[in-house]
Amino acid sequence: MSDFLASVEKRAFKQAVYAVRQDESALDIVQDSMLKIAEKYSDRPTGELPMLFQRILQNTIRNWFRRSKVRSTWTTLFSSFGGKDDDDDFDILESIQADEGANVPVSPSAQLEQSQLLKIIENAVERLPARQREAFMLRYWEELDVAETAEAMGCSQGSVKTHCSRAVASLSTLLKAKGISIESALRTD
Amino acid sequence: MIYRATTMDDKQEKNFARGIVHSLNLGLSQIEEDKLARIRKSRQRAMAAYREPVTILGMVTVSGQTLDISNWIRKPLFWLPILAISVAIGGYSLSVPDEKFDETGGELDAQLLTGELPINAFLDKDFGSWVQESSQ
Repeated sequence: MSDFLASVEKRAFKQAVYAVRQDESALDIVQDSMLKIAEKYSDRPTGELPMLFQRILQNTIRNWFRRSKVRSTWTTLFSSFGGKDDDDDFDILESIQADEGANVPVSPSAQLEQSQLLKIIENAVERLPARQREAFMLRYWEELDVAETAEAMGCSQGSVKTHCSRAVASLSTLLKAKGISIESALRTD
Repeated sequence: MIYRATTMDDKQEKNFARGIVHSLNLGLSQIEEDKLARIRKSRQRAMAAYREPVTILGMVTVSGQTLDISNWIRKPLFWLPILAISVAIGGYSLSVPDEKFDETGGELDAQLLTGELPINAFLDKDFGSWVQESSQ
């Protein structure tokens, strides 16, 4: 269990940060999730732990948004996408305006340092609708298969595929709007 | 100008995702040390609460937490059946009549009714102790 938690803790923290955009709250979310899986699911086979942990993490994030809604209606009003579980119909692409000069043929890798590029990508990930980000993270970052992702998210496998496709399309467009192609991200080591 | 999504096939989608994930992984090394320390502490706290799973008769594996009695004692519902059983036993023992008392009491009643025992006997200060002695 300890090895498993050590292997996922950093990504769990970043996932929580992308969702709630507050480091302190993200740390609390990770702590609660770790505590819960250690207390309640110690009898589960090791192979099930990644999916279970992700399900707990995502539920803890959702609970954080619910509590935030109760605490302050302002948080809900000004939160772009956070806490909105049922955002399947929302299309981020409708709201993205192209940055001026985005079509200028310059090489981003020559202009941006790695940290800047990372910041842009992280911002793009943060701007994704919650369910799209969740699906993308579980499927590609946590490397769960479609069935596991669906179980962790509590939705159908078809929904997972849809969320992933939309997430990739949205990210692609967001990055393109910043003049970044994903090849440049891969080149930057 | 508004960008529109460009559709990607599975391979393109995976390649694109690989690029994003590659960057995100690089970002993990940039987490500040104080936050890493908090995360480590959280893990240690979780492991303190962790109980090794226990296999019962080689058949069923249950969480160590399930068999931890100290965990159960803290739950109010754990005490409910114990309280109910205690109340039931207490109630039963009170409702069962004391046979010895009935025996002595019944005998005195009979003697009173048949006139063998004068009613003034109850006014005698030693009568109570005599009744007690005779019932033992």
